[in-house]
Amino acid sequence: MDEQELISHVQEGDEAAFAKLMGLYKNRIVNYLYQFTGDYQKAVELSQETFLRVYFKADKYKPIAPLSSWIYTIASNLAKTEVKKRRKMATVSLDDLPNSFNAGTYSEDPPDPGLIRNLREALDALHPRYRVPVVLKDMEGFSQEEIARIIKRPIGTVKARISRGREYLKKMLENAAHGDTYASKNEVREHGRA
Amino acid sequence: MEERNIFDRLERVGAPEGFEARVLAELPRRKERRSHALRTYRYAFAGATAVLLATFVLVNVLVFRKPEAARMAAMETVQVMETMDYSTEVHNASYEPRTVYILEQVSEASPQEITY
Repeated sequence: MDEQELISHVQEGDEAAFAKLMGLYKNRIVNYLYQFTGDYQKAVELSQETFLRVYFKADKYKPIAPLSSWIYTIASNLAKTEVKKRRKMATVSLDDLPNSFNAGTYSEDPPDPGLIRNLREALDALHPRYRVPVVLKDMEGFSQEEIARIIKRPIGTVKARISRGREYLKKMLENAAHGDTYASKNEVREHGRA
Repeated sequence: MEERNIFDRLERVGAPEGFEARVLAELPRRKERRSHALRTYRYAFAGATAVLLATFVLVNVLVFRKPEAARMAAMETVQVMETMDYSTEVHNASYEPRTVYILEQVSEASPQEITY
């Protein structure tokens, strides 16, 4: 049974088809939401909520767009709402971290915990406006057209946001590599606009 | 691209065991919650419509409608002028003993019309 058949069965309330659909997408959605939120438990919760909404809103799905775009749209909206709800962003002074996490060293070999930690922090600091397209493009492998469908923006806007998001990340990683704190974190969070 | 390579270093995670079962278990509870919410909205909507209707009727009756006497007084007097054809009246009278009415003009100035 292909995806379109599955979703049409789900529209009729078929829970077995719904379970199969979840099997196809659960890992991708959980991973996407984890990369977005940085919190695995929250990512699992949001993923469950995503699929519940897929089930109850299945009748709203029109086969003009791929099913994956629709599911990721629901997941992205939930993720953005979650980020907005968080009042306190984790701000960690690099001076307080153990030495091994202090600066990013860009080694080609097994994952450098310093780099990964910095990247995680930088992603977390990135405004959702840029985080969504960057994660969808660079981690989930969606095309710009698909991302435009997911976030319901023109392709030009998607390109601009991906480009700016990458620039901000690069700047933050460079600052972290030089031992600076994320001084620009709030600036990115507040001024991000495309 | 360097950024892309960096992203590849982030760990990928997957859904935990029993993910589908948990979601499927949540379905009946969520269905119940939705039908309860729908019932609540229906009653609230019906109640609001009833209140609006009652308000409309009360306002119409108590505020906009004046008492009958006041309404009549506010009406202008309509003059109804009707000419009397005495000959027809007599002709159409019954065959019983006739009563002939003679109307006498009292005022010289008034028209030969009857004002109600």
